[in-house]
Amino acid sequence: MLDQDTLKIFEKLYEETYGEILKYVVCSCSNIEDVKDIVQIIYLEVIKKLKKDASFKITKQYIFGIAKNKINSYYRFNYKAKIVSLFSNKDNEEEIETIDNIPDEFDLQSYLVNKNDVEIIWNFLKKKKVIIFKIFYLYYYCNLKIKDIAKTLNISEANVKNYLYRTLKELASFMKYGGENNV
Amino acid sequence: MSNEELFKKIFEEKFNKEEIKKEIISKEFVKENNKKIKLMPILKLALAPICLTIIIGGFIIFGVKKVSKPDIIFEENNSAQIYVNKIKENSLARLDCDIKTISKTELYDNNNNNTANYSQQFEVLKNLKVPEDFNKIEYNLIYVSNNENNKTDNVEDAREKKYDILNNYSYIYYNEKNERSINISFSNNNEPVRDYFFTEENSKISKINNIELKIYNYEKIYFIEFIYNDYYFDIETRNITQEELITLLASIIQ
Repeated sequence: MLDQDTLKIFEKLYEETYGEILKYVVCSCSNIEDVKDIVQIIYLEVIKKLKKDASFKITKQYIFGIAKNKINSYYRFNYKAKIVSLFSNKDNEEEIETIDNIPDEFDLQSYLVNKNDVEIIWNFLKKKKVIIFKIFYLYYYCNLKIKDIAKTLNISEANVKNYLYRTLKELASFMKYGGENNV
Repeated sequence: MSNEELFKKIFEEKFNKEEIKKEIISKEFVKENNKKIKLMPILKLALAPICLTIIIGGFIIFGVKKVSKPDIIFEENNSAQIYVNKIKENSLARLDCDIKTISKTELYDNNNNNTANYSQQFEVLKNLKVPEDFNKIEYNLIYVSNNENNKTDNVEDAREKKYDILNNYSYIYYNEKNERSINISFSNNNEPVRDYFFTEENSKISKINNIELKIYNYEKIYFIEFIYNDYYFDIETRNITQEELITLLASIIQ
C-alpha cells in the first residue's frame, strides 16, 4: 500500500524535481507525445523504491539516474529507435535554411501569435521536428537564453534563432488563416 | 498576450504538474489493485506432436476397486474412460492478459456491479472436491484486451494496453507450502486463456459420463480440457495423484 508517509515523501520529491526531470525528458525524448508517459514511468519507479525501502534517501541525482534508465528502456522497447540525445543534433544543421537574413538581435515579438488557441498551436508544434518543439519549450517555458539552448541541444546559436524565427513566422501565418492551412 | 505568456500557458497546460501527479498516484493505485502480467513467457511447457498416447492406468473403469471414495457419482454409471496423453517436449507460450485477484468477500458481493455474477459462476464448482490438505484458495479474474490493434511485443506498450474484457475465472487451490496445486480456469463464454499449448493431433479422448475430456501429463503436471454444462474448463494440476485427479474431475462432471 502507498501509505500516507510514503505519499508525503513522494509529493515532496515530486515538487522538488518535477521541473528539472520534465526538462530532461523533453530534451532527451524522440517524440513529444512520449513525454508525459515517460515522466509517469520515472515517478512510478520512485514510488516503487520508496515502498520497498522507506528509509532509502532518494536524491535528485538518483531520480535522474532512474530517468536515464527509463528513457533508454522506453525507446529500446517501444521504437527500437535511437534516442535523440542532448548531444546528437548535429545532423539537423544540414537542413537549416540560410540564416543570412536573420539579424543577430531579431525581434520575436514582431511575429506575435495573437490567437489564444492552445490546442491549435500545440498541434502545430507537435507536427514540427522534435528539435523545434524542444527549442520552444526551453525558450518560452524554461526561459533559457538562445546561447544556453544551443549549448543544451548541442546546436549552433544561429540554428536556434533560425528555428525560432522561421517557426514563429510560419505559425503567425498559420494562425492568420485560422489555423487551417497545411503546414 | 505575448508569445512568452502564450507558450508558457500551452506548456503549463500540456505538462500540468498537478495533473501528471494525480495520474501517477492513480496508476500506482491501480497497479496495487491489479496483478499485472507484463507479457512474460510464463509457462514453458510445450510439446511436439503427441504421437505417443500412453494410456496410464489403462482403461480405468470407475468401480469401487479403482476409486475408493464412495461419493464419486460416476462409480454408479460405470462409464468412464480415462486416457492420459503424455507430453514429451517443451516449448514457449506466453500469456497476454491481466489477472485480478479478488477476495472471497468480493466473490460473493452481489451488491457490487463489478462482481455481480461471480457467485453465480462459482456455482459450477459447488461440489468440487480437492485434496484435504488444499487449505488455500486464490480467486482470479482473467482480463484480455479487446483491441486486436493493441497487440504488441514489447513490455512498455503492453503496460498501456487496456485489458477490460473479462475472459474467464481462475481459482487456484493449493496446500500450505504451495507444493501442490489445482488451477481451475473456466468460463461460459470463452475458452480460458492458456499459458501453454499442445499439438492435440492424435490425442486420445477420455470420457466421464459421456463428457469428452482431453487429459495431458507433463512430469508432475496434468492438464485437462473439457466443456461441461456450457462451460469451458481448463484445469492444471501440480503434484497430485491420479486418484486425486479423478476425484476432482468426478466432482465437477456429475
